Amino acid sequence: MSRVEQAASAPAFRTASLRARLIWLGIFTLLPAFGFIVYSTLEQRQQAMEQAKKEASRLLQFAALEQQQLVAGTQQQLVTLAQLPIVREQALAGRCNNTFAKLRQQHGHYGNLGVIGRDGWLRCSAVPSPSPIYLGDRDYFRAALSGQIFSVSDYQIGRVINKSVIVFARPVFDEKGGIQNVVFISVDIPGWFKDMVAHTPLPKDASLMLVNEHGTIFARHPNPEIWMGKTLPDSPIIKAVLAQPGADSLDEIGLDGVRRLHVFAPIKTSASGHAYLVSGIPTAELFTDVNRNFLAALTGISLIAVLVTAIAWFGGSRFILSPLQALTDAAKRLGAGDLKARTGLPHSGNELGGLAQAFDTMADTLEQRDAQLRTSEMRLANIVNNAGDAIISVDDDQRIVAYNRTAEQIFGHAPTSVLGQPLDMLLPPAALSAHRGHVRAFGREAGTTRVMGAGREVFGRRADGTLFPAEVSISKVAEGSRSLFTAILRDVTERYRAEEEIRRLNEELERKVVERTAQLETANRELEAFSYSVSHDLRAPLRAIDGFSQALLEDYEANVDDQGRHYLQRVRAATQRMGELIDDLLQLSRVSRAEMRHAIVDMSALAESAIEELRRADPERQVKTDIQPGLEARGDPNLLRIVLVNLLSNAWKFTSRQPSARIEFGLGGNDGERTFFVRDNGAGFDMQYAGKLFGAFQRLHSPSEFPGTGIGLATVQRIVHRHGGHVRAEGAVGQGAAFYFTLPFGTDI
Amino acid sequence: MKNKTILLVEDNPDDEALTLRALSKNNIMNEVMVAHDGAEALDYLLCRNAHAGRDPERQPALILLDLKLPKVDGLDVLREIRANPSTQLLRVVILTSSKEEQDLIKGYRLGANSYIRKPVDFGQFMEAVRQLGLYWLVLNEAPPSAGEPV
Repeated sequence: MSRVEQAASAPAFRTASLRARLIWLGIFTLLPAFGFIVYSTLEQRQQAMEQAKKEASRLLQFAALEQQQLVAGTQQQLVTLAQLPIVREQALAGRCNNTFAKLRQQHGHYGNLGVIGRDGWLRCSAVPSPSPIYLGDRDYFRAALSGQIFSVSDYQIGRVINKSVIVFARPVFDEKGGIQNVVFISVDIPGWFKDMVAHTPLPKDASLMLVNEHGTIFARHPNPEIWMGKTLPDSPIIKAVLAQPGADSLDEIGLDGVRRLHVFAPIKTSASGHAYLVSGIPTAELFTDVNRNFLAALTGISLIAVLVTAIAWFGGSRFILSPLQALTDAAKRLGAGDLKARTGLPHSGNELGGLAQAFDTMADTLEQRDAQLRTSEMRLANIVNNAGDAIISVDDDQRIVAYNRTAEQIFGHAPTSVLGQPLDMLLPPAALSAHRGHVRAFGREAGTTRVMGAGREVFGRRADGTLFPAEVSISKVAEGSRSLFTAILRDVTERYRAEEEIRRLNEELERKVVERTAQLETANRELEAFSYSVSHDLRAPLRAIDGFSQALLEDYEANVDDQGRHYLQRVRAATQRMGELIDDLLQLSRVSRAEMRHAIVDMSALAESAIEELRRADPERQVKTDIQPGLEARGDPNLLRIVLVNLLSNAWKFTSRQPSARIEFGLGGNDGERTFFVRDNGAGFDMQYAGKLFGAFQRLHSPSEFPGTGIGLATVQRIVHRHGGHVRAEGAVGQGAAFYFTLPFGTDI
Repeated sequence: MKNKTILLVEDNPDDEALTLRALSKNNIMNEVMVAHDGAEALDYLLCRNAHAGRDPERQPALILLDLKLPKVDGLDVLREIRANPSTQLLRVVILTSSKEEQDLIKGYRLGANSYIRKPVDFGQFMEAVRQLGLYWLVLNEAPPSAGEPV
């Protein structure tokens, strides 16, 4: 862990930490396995101990049983011996030695058999002794002599055979019940022990020991010759046995230095003495397998731990740390403003892939937003900079914070000399204090936009000090706790100039109109005077010509022949025609000059009355008329009457040679307008001359065919035009004519 | 009828002759007094200047008044006639070449009793004069205080 940290460079500390965590995680997962191994090992050890203990106990029981059998067998033997005559009869004592010797040979474990007299001297012995031997001081003898039926000695060295023995003794009673002597059997403990061991199935390196309460070793397997007879109360196992007589088992180092699991049991020997039978099973052998298994498992788990560490190290690096590093790098680059930064990681389905995808998507979005923002900013900047009006922003302190190109052009200050400066530099000195008041008032207002100086003129001050009229609207935007005031300003000098020019031109125009009107009025008056003269003065001579011609005819009838009379008639006809011409001309000029008045005109009634007049003037004519009733128009009644009279008179005139003349008046046409028409079935006209019809003095017929001045249709056209309408004619020679006219004023009725 | 004077105010000698001819042809034998301009007509009617000695009681039974006149215009003559108590009830027929609407309106507004346009055709003129004479001199009753027989 610490080495990992050291190995990692400082910026990679976090990745190292993550790697270490991964390793720890791997190792932690191995802990239960390790625990299990330890537990299992302990359990196995426990089982081995139990097994050893069981074996030791079995060995101990076996040995104890053997020992009990020995004691029981020996007691039985002593009972038998006590009955023998050779023991009881003094006389037969001579055979005792031999008999006992034979008995000893039969019982291999008997070190000796003998009889001790009441005086304590050995009287009979299976093992012969060269000299008399006194045994009256032996504890078993004393116990027997005191009446104890069966006494056992401590473990001791036999005086006859000079071996480690236990002596069992019994008094021999005479008939009177007195004690004659004592019979004894000494058991060769090492021999017995050796035999017992020999036919006992001993586990390898098991030990069996007989030791008394003083720590004197009577027998031991293996190597009895080394330990027999030695008193070693301080050797670990003996010390432990003597110190803890109630212990269940003892895991101690044996006499030979081999560690064993020992069990032990006390054996009652003499009345006063104790001995212990101790069996031991070596533990070293026992735990070998367990330890080997434990080692193997430990090795295995260590290998796994190493493997886990390696996998965590390299796998973590490959699958987690590298992608994380890539993500971190990308995030750092993004944070540093590199919006093109991407993780470069595959967008796989796992968490890191998802994270990478999320990051890349975020970066994409960020980049797009940034691009949009840039575009938008650029657009806004372009708009502001290229705006036709000056745009100037000031902060709360009236210091200029924005100043566009048009402002530069209008005011003549470079942006560098304006930004951060007080707005005052752009205002006329006279307006400064008032302006501050306005701004303060606007700052308190609820509204956000208003036109500056509404209703009065506002001026700006250029760099050269000149003032110019401006049109300004200001807006207020809150930026946090501060306000930003933006003024959009237009130099209206040109407009003022233009307005001035317009005003001047208007005045001039008005003046000219007045002049022209006056001229026109004059002209009109002159024209009227002229018309008056024409109407009045041109007719007078005609009247004179006509009148005096008539007078000549009447007064000098006799002096004028037929030819002369004819000429005078022609003079009169010409004067009358001249009179008509003058009248028509006057009418034509009058319809142009007359003031129009508008009224609803009953066109049908006008037509009816015109026809009526024509009928009255020419009662012989049979003309069929068809006048559509109820037709109305809006216009000047007099002028419209002239129109209908002219058109109907024409129709009347040109149908004069038609036997079944027919004249129609109505509303029709298919061009979407209200079109009136006057149609007849008279002489008609050639359509190629239709254009000439409406010109003054234009005639398509000679006066001998049809009389007329050629002014009527010109008058009709003029009146229709004055009403905003138009007139046209349709016809064919011999097939009648139709005149159409519209009266737009009439469309709203 | 013969006692009733007609005052013809006419500057044009042709018209004067033709009018007189038409009157006589129609047997209107009344005395005709001709004034050749408006001033003369007024002098006659108001008995002043050249006509200062004339009896103001003898006023014409009918005045035929042309409009376009030298010196004083016919309409001014009419206005003067209607303004003056001694002439205000006289019968004035405007006899003129003009058919101008304005002349008609002004004429009637100023108190003309009739308005006749002189036709070019002498036959028609004759007819007009005949009817005029018949109407104004025969059929029409004159107001009591004016134009009484002289």
